[in-house]
Amino acid sequence: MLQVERLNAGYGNIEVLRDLSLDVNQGEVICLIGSNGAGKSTTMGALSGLLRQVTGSIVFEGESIEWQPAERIVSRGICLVPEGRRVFQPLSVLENLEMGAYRRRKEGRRALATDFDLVYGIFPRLKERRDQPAGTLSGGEQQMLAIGRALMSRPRLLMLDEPSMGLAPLVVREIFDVIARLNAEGITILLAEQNARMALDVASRGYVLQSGQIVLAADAAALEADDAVREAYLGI
Amino acid sequence: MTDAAIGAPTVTTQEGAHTRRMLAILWAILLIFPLIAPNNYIINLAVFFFINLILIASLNLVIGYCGQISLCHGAFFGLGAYASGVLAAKFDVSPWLGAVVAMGMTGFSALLIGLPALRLRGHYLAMATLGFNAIMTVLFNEMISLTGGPNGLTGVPPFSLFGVDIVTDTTFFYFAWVVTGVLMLLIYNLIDSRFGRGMRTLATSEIAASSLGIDSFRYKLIVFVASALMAGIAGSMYVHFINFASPETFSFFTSVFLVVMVAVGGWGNYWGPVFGALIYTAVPELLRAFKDLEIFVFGLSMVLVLLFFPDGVVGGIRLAKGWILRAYTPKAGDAGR
Repeated sequence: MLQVERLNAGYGNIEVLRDLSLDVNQGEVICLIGSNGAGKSTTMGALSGLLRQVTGSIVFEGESIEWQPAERIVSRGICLVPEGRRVFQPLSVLENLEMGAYRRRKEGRRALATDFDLVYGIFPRLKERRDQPAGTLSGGEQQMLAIGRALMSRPRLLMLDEPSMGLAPLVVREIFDVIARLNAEGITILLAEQNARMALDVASRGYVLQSGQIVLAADAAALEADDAVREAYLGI
Repeated sequence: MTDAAIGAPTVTTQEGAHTRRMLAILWAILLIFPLIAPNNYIINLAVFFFINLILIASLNLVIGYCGQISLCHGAFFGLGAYASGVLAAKFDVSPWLGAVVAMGMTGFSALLIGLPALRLRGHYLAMATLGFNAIMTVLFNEMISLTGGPNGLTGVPPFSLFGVDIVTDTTFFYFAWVVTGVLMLLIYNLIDSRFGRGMRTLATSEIAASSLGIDSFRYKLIVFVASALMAGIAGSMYVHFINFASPETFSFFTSVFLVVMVAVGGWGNYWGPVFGALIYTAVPELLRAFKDLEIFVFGLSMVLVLLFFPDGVVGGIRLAKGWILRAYTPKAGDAGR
């Protein structure tokens, strides 16, 4: 579904990613694990088109997308839930979700009805708080809204950047349950996480990033069993 | 069921009806203002309030709603004033046509600045507009044969309607009342639309907006041009009201003051500019007593306001409302017990 080859990306003079290659198959949950500054968010930014200083090749469903702007990439079916949730605080929950369907605005309201149903079905709490400004939601609810907002674009590949950031353990579990459920419903998922344990539980395969390079790629179970990973990321 | 749920009025549309009602009430009250004003000087100030309101409310769209700092609103104001004024004073063009040309010129220059500067994320608009204001100030000063240079542009005729010149403070007040009222309604309709919601996402989080495929460049450019058009209208009103224009009115300092007034009123709030314009119009008059210290006192008070009320006057009012409600509620609870 997604093939990334020899991707280099950075900001100004600073090169962050060096020759990064990875691939994601239809129906998988892939996780990128790595410490702060390893390049997880940069990878997500480059894949979603937010970061334009990119060389190398990104192929999504057979088409090169490395030169395409973010809005085109969203239309193609890749949507990123950015790090730190970034909900539109003054807008209501409903308006936030509507903005998620921004690229589909020509389809009309009726077409969106089933998507609202889907999101409200997964996150009943968002329905209860539909008219509330997003800024008044709790951290967990904001993360749910950010995911729901991304779902409104009908992604085939959903990318989540640190969905567990700043959330209570119980809420993190809830979010990861949702990720597993979305995957079961057919959405392919690429996940960047510091919380390696949770990420590997839900993922089928994983990549370990260190200083902008992939140092290890293996099945989730193999990574969980790997001594270096256990020591560095699982704290065992 | 879901269709009804989506179509059902959200908080915003209820708020929308409320805000439009408030606007209608405010404008109805302003209608009788010239009748109760003690003298022409106060009515004259009220005209300036309207002009400042257009300037600050249009700038608020760029700063408060799109999250971009523009430092050349004074130059757009000036370009509007000079375009309209020079055409009328030197070429005998009707002020009405002049106002249209003024809008065209300000809108076009905003397009030229915005096209390169708004493509980039960050403070590039601030830098580009800073330069534009400097260039315009030089042009206003140096194109002496057209603008009159530092001595100013004189002999600008007033607007006239059905053969009657709009010259007195009171007639101009009603003219400005109509124009400003229409613009304020247009601004609200813009904010309270689908386009407006897209625009507001930019000020909250441009990254999130882009990650959803919202074309932030297009939004910012449209709003920047629209805001420049409105500044052009304000300039045209100004020059045909005082029948004179001088370069220092449209200097970089004016642009900075307008940005400060957006902040003092409360950015990203529809009513913020009303307070901003009120302060910008009234306070300098009240500070006349301080003479040379005027700007110093003005600046200092702005710093203090922003220090204690980062959300401006509107934020301050909201805080005060909270205090009053909280001070009142426990007593009611005690009485219940």
